Amino acid sequence: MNMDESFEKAAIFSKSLALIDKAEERILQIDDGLFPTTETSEIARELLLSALKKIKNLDSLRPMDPSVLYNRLISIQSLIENVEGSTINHISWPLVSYCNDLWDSFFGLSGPRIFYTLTHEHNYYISPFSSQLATLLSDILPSVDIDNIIGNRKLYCLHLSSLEETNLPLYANIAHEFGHPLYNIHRDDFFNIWDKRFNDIHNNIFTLLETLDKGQAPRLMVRIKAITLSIAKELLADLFAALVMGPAFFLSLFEMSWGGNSSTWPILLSPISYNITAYPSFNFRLKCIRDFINIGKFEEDAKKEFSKINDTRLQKVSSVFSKIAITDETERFLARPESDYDRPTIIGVLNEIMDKLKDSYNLFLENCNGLINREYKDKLSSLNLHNISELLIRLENDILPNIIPDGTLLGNPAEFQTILNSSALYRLNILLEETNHEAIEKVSRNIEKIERLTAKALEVSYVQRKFSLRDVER
Amino acid sequence: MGILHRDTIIEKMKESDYSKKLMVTPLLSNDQIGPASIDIRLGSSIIVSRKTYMESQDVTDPEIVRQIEKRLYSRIRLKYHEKFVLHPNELILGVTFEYISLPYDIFGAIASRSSWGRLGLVIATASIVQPGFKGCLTLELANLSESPIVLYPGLLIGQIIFHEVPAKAGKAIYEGRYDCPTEAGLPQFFSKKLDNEMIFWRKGLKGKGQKGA
Repeated sequence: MNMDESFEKAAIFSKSLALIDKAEERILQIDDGLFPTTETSEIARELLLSALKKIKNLDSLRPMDPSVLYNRLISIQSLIENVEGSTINHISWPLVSYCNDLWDSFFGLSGPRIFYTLTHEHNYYISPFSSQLATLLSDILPSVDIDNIIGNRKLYCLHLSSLEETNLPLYANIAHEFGHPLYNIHRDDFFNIWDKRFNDIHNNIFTLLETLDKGQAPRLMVRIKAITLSIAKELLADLFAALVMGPAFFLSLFEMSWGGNSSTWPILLSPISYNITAYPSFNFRLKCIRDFINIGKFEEDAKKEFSKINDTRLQKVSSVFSKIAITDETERFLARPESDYDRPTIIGVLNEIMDKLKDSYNLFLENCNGLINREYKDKLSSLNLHNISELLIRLENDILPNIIPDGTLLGNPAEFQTILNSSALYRLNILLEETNHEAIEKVSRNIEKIERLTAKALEVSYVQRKFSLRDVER
Repeated sequence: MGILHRDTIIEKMKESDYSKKLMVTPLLSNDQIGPASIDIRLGSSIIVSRKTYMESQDVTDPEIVRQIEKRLYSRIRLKYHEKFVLHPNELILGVTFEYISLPYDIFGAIASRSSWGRLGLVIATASIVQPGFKGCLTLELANLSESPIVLYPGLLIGQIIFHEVPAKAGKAIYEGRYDCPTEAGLPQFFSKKLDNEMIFWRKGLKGKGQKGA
């Protein structure tokens, strides 16, 4: 069917206007009483409403094809879904309260903010909500208007796995996601470390590429640099998570590696080098964390501390680390999509220098570790093994792991990281202890129970701490 | 069988052996322990009933019981510092903020606090907590007054009284159907033990060639 071009444009424009009204209505109908934190209503929702209001004023639009407006409005719907998914019906309020405290301690109240939504993905991820909105608006509004809407409000959105409370093994991953804004805040520092540590290896790669195809070498080099940087960011986020959450992150990562190939370094290629994503293998990630937070020493100290517990089962909990075998099998890059013409060259070159790459990443992490420790020393995890052992005893007796006994009836509310680590240790120990298939149902019930007790412990310990501060705050 | 007084309650709470220890955790204030009871708070998990879908609650019919669980109730998670309005003649299921663990020789009884009772808030009908129970308690909260009552998670709304029961040392008596619950629980009419009895009262001895009782 051939339509007159101007008629088609007018039709698309009308549809766009209708979509703006619908989007506004959709946002206004969201019950803000269900938002777990005020950032959802005060920033996320406000940003979207301001943007739609501005777009609605047709005089303020840039000259453009109406289809561009329509496409951008369709994309804005996914941001609206983020706000709609920000509901305490599924997101644990105590968990996000802990997350907010953690966020504020690292990024400050005047820094970027965060709100929480649900994802149907198994894993978590973080997205730069305000930047995404600015990008979508950039084709339809003048930059001055975008600046007026966004201002200096930098907002991230953490996408939590749906039915949050049943995802205890993933709680520690939240700190990994926080590692990405950390990179953005210290972008120059971390980028310079990467640039310095990878200078030689990038030169080697360039030489290799030139021998293959001199004309294509500069273009391919841009893509390969995007890959090495993407992997560096992931490793940095891992390091940050391990420093903040302690061994719980190591155990969580180990559990995430189940059922997949732990020796593969996956790359998702894109024609735009900025959009290329790449990850190190689980084996390499686990090795890095094991070394940087010294899991061996933690295990040794835990063994000593837990030997004081009058329970043979709990005495062996620290051995869970010995059961985690990080294999030394050959590691390989794998890239998708197969249709990408550069794919064989890229993975060929990277596989050839795998060992050198690993060395460079270790040096990169060593420098990053120094920087993070200098900047945030007081805020990093310092786990008290005695406290962990107290919580293990409680878990073993089907009691909430919420209190560190102090001789009083109230006790000390346990820290977030202490609860998380004791539960992660206890939980994984049960999972790795029983290999008998007949015991699967029993183990499953036990795991559910631990997760229930942990979720409740996080809630009540948070409330208890806030309650104990009420006189000070008042 | 006597009611435990404050000193005995504290003594039992300080017991180091978890199998003999009485636990109500966390206590946010020592004032929660009264002369012969411990005050308990409202937790954040509640279940409200929906006024649609179900024409009745016939609990002797397994199919209707399943429908009740699916269709009659909605689970809500309250934020702290956010109010919940309980309207006149409304019944909701709440949960205690505290986690309770009773040793083998103590059972508990839940009661309303008199101040709330005078406002018309009744908090418990199934008030017995069996020896050996571990978990958070589900509370049946009903507003019997003529005006709405505002509730917040964390408010002290009830109390638990403890009784000593003679029992063989070290033997846990409670073998209930609730496995360390931490949220408000729906009614559980059917379990393996009760299936046959429920069906008997509904249908008599039909089947196996017999007519109804």
